[in-house]
Amino acid sequence: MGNERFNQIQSLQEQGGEDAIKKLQEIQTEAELGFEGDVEKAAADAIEAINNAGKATTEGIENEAQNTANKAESMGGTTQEVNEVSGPIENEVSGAVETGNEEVVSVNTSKDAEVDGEHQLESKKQEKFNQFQKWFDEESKKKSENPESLVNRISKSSEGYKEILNEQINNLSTSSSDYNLKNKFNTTREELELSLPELYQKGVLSEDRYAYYIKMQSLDGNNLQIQKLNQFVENTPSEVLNKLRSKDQNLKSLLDNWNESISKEIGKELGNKTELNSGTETFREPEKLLNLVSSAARFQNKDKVKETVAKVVDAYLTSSSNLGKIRSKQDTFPVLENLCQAGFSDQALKIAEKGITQGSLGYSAIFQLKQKGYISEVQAKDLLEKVGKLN
Amino acid sequence: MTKEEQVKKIKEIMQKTLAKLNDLKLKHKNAMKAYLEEKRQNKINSIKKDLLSK
Repeated sequence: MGNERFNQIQSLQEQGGEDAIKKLQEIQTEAELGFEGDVEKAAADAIEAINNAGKATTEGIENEAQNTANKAESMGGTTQEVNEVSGPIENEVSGAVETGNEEVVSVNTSKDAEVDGEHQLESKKQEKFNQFQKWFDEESKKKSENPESLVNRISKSSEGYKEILNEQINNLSTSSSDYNLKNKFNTTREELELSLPELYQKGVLSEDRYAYYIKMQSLDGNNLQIQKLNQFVENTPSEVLNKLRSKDQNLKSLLDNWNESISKEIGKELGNKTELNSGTETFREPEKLLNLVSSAARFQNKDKVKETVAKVVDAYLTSSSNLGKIRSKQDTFPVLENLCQAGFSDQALKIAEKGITQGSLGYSAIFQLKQKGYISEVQAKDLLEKVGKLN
Repeated sequence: MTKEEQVKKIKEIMQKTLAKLNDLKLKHKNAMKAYLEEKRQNKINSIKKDLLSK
């Protein structure tokens, strides 16, 4: 910080008052960002950091490959064989650097049109949300109407916030391309996924209107299927589910039926065991069982199912070492996410630690868990250190 | 998107890419380990076979 800025702070402090405080806060924000608010400088610094890390990674990989080739020589290995294993990973490094740089450039070169587009999306969402709340308030005043009929009418309505939300939920739960998302909302799947917890939170804070709406859209009016209920339960945090259930008899009855059917399936899976080579027994499909139990746990007493969840997690971990279940982030992350959403972050952490030890989970998975708010800063730091120790 | 939001987004992309690079480093290390282990096992089997045939 130069002398000029320092003098400005001193002068503002002496001046006092609201304007001075506001100005001081602006200066502080700029300083905290560390880039003096300059997007281009931030992009240049980020690209430099990515390129340096990419270069260091490639060099590290090349050295390691050379060492491996030397070690393998006496055992009949060849440099060519090592290169065949090492080459594709080296290419992935180049790809990651290239993608990272392209993403940084795209943020840096966002033109006014794109910035406006995002503002438009935000204000459109807000406008639709306001319309929906107003409409919902009016509809709720009609006391004679039962919840089922209300759901039907809302489903038929072309107005309201559902236009945006419906698209969001459908686009997230189906295979719609990112191209369509970009065209419709000027946003990406990743951004929408990141915004969902915030949307659910809004639902809880705004007396369930939003959450009620999520339920309606997810359940598709009267055409209710177990599969849809599964999808709805898996995508709705426990606190929202419980609030909805306590306020809506229709939904309560649906969820009770769903719970009965899911309990039968859990019972079936609990009895479905297999014997491992080591002679110990475990569940035939612990991953499936874990997902079922996590879903059921969302609107049951957490303490009641705690032991079952812990038992299945232990089985999952046992089978992982023997049957190779924790193979990759792609296989394991949905299980972690389901557990965290059901309120069993402690169990998810156990699986994450095992995944790290096995080398199937790394920095990206931890980064994503932290980014989605499933684990705390301290927990993330602890896991990152564990990954670091394996390096 | 405000300037601050753009800077924040850039930082996130940087962190995400650095995390990905670290994972690739680990993946490579594991791949090299697995390769060496395979060679070691092959060598052991070949020695065993030689000894048994004598």
